[in-house]
Amino acid sequence: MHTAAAIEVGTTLPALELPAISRTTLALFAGGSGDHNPIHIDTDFARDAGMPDVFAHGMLSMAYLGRLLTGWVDQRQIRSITVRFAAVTPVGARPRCEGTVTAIDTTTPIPTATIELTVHLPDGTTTLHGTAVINP
Amino acid sequence: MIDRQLAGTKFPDYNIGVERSQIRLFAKAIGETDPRYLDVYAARGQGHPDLLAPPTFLVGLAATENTDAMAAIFKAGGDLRRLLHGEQAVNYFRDAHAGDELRCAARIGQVYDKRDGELEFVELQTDVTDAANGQRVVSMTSVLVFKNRQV
Repeated sequence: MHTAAAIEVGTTLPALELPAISRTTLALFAGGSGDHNPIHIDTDFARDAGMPDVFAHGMLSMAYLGRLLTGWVDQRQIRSITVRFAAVTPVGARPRCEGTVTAIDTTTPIPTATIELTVHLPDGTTTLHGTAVINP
Repeated sequence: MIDRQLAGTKFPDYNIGVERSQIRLFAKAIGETDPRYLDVYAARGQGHPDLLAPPTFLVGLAATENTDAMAAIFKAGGDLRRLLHGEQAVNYFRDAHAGDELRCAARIGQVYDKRDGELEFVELQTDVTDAANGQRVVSMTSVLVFKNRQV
C-alpha cells in the first residue's frame, strides 16, 4: 500500500484492463448489485426500449474503478468517489480504468490527494469520468 | 414529463443487512480476487471484523431496498425504459462489513431538465448509518436521467 511519500501530482495508478464484458458478467452483476433493471439482462426488453442490445450497468464500471483504487491504496484511505456516466458500455467491450493524481492538499489535518479517473473502451469512447479523494 | 413536485420527497427510513453471500457474489461479478472480500479469515487477518464490502457495494444494495423511491419516481412519470444512470457520488466515513445492519435515510433532491425537456434528471440522496450505534457509514447521491426522445 502507498504512503504520502510515494504519491505526488502526476503519479499514475497501474491501469486496470478488464476482459470483454459478457452477458454472464451482466447477469452476475445484476444479482450481486441488486440492480435487476432488465435493460442490462433481457435483450427483448432492451430492443423494446430502442437499444440494439443489452448494455453494461454503469455501476459495473464504477465498481471496476473501485478495484483500480483498492488495488492501489487501502480501502480505508478512500474518502469519496464521484463519477459521471458519459456513454453506455456495450456487451463485448473491454473497459480500461485509469487514474492520475492531479492535486495534493496538505493544508487539512489529514492530507488528501485528488485522483482523476476515467474508463474507456478500445475504440476510444470514454464511458466514465470521475474523481476520487483519498488520504495518502 | 416528470412531476416536479417529486423534488424534496423524503422516504421512510429503512434497514439493509450486509450479507457475506451478497458481498461474494458482487466480488465475483466484478472479477475481484482480493481475499478481504471473499475469505472471512483473510479479512479478519487484515483487521476487519468480517468480509469487507467493496467501495461501491452499498450503492446497489441501498437502491434495491428503496422500493418507495423507485415507486415514487415511476408514479411521478419516470419511465424505466428511458432510465439511465447519469452520475453517482459516494462519500465514505467508515467501512461496511458482512453482518452490519445499516439504516438508510433517502430523499429526492432536485428534479430538473436540460435541452428543453429532452433529458430529465432526478437526484436521489441516501445517508447510511450503522443501525446499532448511529455512526455514519456512507452518504450517496445518484443522478437518474430519463431520456425522453432520441438525442
